[in-house]
Amino acid sequence: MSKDPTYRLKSHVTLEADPDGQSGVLVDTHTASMISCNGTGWVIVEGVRDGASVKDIVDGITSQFDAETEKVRQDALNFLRHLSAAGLVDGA
Amino acid sequence: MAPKPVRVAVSGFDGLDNPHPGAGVAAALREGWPGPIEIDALVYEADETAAWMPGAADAIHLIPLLDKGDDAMLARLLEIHAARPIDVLVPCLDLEVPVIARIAADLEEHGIQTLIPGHSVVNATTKLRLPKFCHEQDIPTPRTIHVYDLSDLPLHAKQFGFPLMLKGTVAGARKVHNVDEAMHHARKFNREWGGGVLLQQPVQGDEFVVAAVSGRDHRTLGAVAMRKIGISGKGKAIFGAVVEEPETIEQASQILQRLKWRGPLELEFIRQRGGSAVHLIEINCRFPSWVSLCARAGANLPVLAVAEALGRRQSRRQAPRAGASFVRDVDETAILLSDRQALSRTGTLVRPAAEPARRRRDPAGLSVAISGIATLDVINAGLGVARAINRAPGVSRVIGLGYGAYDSGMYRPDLFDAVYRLPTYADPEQIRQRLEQIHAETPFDVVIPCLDGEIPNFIANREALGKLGVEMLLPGTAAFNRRDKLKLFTGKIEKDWGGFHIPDTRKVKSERGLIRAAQDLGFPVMVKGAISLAIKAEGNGDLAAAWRQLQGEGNQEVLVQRFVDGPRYAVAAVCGRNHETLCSFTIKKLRTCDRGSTWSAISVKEPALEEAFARFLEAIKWVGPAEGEFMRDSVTDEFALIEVNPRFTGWISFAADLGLNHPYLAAMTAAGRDVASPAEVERTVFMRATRDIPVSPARLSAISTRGGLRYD
Repeated sequence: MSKDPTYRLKSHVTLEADPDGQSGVLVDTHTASMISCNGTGWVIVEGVRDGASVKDIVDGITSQFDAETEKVRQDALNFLRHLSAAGLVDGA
Repeated sequence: MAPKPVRVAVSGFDGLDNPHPGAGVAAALREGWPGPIEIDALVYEADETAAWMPGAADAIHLIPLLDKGDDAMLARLLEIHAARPIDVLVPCLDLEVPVIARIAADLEEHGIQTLIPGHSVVNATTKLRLPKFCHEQDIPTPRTIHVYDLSDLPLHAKQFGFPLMLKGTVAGARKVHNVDEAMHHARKFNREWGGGVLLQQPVQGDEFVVAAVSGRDHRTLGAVAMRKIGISGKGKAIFGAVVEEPETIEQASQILQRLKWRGPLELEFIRQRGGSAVHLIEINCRFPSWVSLCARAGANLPVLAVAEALGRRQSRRQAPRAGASFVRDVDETAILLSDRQALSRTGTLVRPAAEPARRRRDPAGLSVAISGIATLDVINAGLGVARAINRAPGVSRVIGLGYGAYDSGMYRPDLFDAVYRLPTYADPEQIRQRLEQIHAETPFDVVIPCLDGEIPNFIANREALGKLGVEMLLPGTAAFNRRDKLKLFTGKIEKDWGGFHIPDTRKVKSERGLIRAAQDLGFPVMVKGAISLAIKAEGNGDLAAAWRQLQGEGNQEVLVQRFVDGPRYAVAAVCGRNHETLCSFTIKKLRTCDRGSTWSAISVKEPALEEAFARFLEAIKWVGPAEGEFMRDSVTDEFALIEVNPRFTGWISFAADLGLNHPYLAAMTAAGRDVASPAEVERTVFMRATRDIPVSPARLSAISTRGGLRYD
């Protein structure tokens, strides 16, 4: 059984929540580049910031949204790989 | 007992669309100074517009031009000091810092503190000497040569190869692509600054800038790195964000130490694309114009500088918050003509504290949507229309419609209750669908489109919007096309309208045709694009550069017009549905920027001109707002029509300041509601200045991804 991956936000990345707190922006403080996150994306990046594993993040999403666990897991991993490729998170 | 305010004299309130730093320094000091503070603006001319903005300065003082000499400057500063004691002087212009450095000891003797480097240190960092300094200090910098005699420029430019950066000896920079363009801009820079021009190898990469302050011991007290995200046609940052650049800030600190710098400065860098090399492009011996961003990022450099000048060094270094962003916007105000005259006559004007502008809302009033709310290279009229509508009594809501996430109006909750993005390069159907979506979310009664290019899309949607209950006051397509420059000046429209005439104009489709037409009309001529851009050409060299520039902006045909030498005037008018002029208002322009936008103007009475313009609008069957732009020939005193804009003018808030609220009248007429006839009030002068406004990542995100944001 493979170990549950974890990701970490890089130190030069900050999160800025939208006024409603349900979505927000990920800011690369080296380049001022920003990535806007919808509700699900925001749950993922907040989870990464708080040191949660992918499993914890997926559980958090499925508890809030009506979605199939495996589909959520794949989408979350794709999003995290995208952030990793952009140099914004460290992959497990 | 209240503590005595610190009084800081600040210069640099001019620059129009390329603003000097004074207003930003003043704003940062007001925002961050720990105690009462007064700002006295030092200006070289009475119409340095930023000094007049509400809240900018407690007093304005005229100071002598630098060519009057150091003694004249010292005498005037001491005269001001005798009347209103100055605690600290912050010079904000490159050319005046050496002057103030030479008289700093005398100023200090009289109690005026400064924080500026020695005069020889300043000289080491001028554009002319920077390459030598970089070479000596082993600092990467692009290859640069000084061309003193412009006749040598073609030879040097060809040796460099194109494109290359062309710079004035003091200010001004432009990327040029051929010899004609280089010569055209070199002549302009040389006329303005003298001493020839600089040619610099262009470096491709991300531009960023470091603003810093060094203490009396040359230690860096604070530094902020800003990445230029959006750049104006003049190469200036119009939106940018604070970034973490620890290595570059360390490099900047080392440069400051080596220079034995004291006081504020700005260092411009480019990180070469595909490499890590950071090139130093320029050093400016003063705060940058974007300095108010530093205050919002938590590292208030002007406060550090003033505290250091007063010997009150702040012990804790403030780290700037990365991600803090700004977009450049404009402020507008109307000042009493008598105040401007008093400043010119007496040299000093003490201003009362500004009252904050209040937004009026009436739940039973109109809800008005306004487009054209950006300030990128051209100030869109929607911002002025919004200012006017906000002053009106019967308005329930004002909605901003922008096209880009960096349209500055998107970040003006003081003007708009909600903002939405429209699709760019859209057809009428896409615009209709988007307007229906917005209307479903935030209903509006009237829409006022303010961009020339979008008006046909709105005209096409008149019926569809009418079904939603949304009204507009716009002309038909035929009338809209009749005022198009290509038709107006070369069509069958009558030339003589009594109060004005339409000048001789040729339409050309090639560079050769342009040269023939110009020679036929006689130099100088104006070369104009179909929608925007007008370039004065004094000879064939200028024509070639103008042709390339206009072609580069997508003009297949250009107009050549006899140049009319004289002051510029404009008439703003609103026509009703029967083409009758409901109201009109005339200004004489006092200051315009290179793009032709009006930055200062005075209201004038020209009834014959207004009546002639009303006849013209009726003849072309106009409906809605329009602006006629005129030159008044300085010899014959006759008005020549140079353009008709099919929308409100950018300065229309001025009319509202005088009690002639054209946008409100148009909105009420569109909605079929009665409104009292406007009445003119006191004689005033219109002033416009830039202002950097904060952009929060969360708002930027909402506008980028969700297409809108509600502030109400």
